[in-house]
Amino acid sequence: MIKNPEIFVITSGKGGVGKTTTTANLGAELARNGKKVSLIDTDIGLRNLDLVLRLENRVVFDLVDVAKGICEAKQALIKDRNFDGLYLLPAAQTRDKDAITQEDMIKICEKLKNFDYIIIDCPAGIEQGFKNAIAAAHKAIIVTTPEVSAVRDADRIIGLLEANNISDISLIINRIRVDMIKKGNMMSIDDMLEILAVKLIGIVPDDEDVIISTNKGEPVIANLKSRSGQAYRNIVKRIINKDEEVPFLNLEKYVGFMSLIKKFFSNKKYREG
Amino acid sequence: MTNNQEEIIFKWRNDVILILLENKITDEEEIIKTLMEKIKNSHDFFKNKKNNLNLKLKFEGRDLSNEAKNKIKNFLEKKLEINIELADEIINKNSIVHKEISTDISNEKNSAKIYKGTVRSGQLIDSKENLIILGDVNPGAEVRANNDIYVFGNLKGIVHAGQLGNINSIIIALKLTPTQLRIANIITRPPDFDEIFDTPEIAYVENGQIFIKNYIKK
Repeated sequence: MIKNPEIFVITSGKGGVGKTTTTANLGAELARNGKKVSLIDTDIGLRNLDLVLRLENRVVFDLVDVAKGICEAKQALIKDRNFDGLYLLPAAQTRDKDAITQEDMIKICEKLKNFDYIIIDCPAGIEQGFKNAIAAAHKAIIVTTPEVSAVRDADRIIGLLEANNISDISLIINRIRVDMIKKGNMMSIDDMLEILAVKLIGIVPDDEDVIISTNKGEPVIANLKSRSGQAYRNIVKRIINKDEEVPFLNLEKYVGFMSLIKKFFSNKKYREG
Repeated sequence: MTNNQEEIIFKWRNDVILILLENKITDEEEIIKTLMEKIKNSHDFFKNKKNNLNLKLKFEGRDLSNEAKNKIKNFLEKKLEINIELADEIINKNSIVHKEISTDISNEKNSAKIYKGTVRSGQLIDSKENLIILGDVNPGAEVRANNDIYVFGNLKGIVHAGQLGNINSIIIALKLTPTQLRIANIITRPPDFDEIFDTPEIAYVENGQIFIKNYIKK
């Protein structure tokens, strides 16, 4: 069945802000909602998405093989272990970014017709890898963290995306720490929105669960107790139901709640002691 | 003839008569002939152990047919007037080289590419012959060869022996924990949760399936 997928590129400019984690989680949550999703790792030479999904040992063919016509796109797709409907087209590890071209990416995405969504994990930087990643994309999701350097790079990326006629750009702010913002030690969400001036689609709190789940090879959205998982689930709601208003996580409330729990436990301890 | 006799060495290893054959003599008939002559001339060598009842005979260095071995055995038995057993099945406990494997290895032309150092993620080492890695192969790295691959280290990356289709290729590593293991056109990956053995292991193909076993014979 031909579905004509919506193609997203997840990009940031700066490295280490959480592009790959975001790609894995959005893909997994979309698949959990019954969508058919293909993830494409374009970080040739520094591929990670297969690791985060723990599919590394299943990789036989990769993006470069598909681009070179060594195999069909279908043959290179790896089915996820946990989520039906989630597939990964891995990057090659022993090649470099110049191994494929923008035209290759467009052709490959055209072949993946029977998916609802294609999510492209973009490498850091603004060179060939970035150009490949955005070549076939309709929409872009920028991931940034509350640091001046990450915001500066995000701004640069938004400029490049607009120059490449990608106008549907949304923003995910990752690794927010409310306690630090309150003390004035971290850029606030408003500060960042003022500079970047694109629509905000999600805020993800800084959360150890992300590290734990990444090392386990299971996306954090599967952890129903985790706040970051909730944040990613909300983002997917906003992607699927474009008109529905999904309220942002109230992180302050959460901090209050946590301290309440702490108080409760300390009281209990006191009583028992 | 005397030249040829020097290619054959007799040795005692406890109760085993060890006959070391050099590769230079190729014809089996000639070996037997030379051997018999040498036995005739080495009276002193056998004199001491003549009363031993559990004498065994073992050949090393070259594979002989069973027929040839029996011929030599019978000749020795006649000469020493005692019973001798063929001792092919007795393999030194510490010997690492497994019999079938050693013949497999020598089938190839014995040329190999040697790589010293750790093969890191993203690196690809390709050999048109055999491949020897003196170091680890990290996850994300790939080593390939047209024939065998030997890794003197921890093999964690992707390994592909016999990449052009040589199904007799083998893979040996001091620690064999690859992300993916390929021999010729057969691909395997370890189960998601697997025991890790801290001993050298060998991977080979039998009946179209890849087998992995301990390389040190216990």
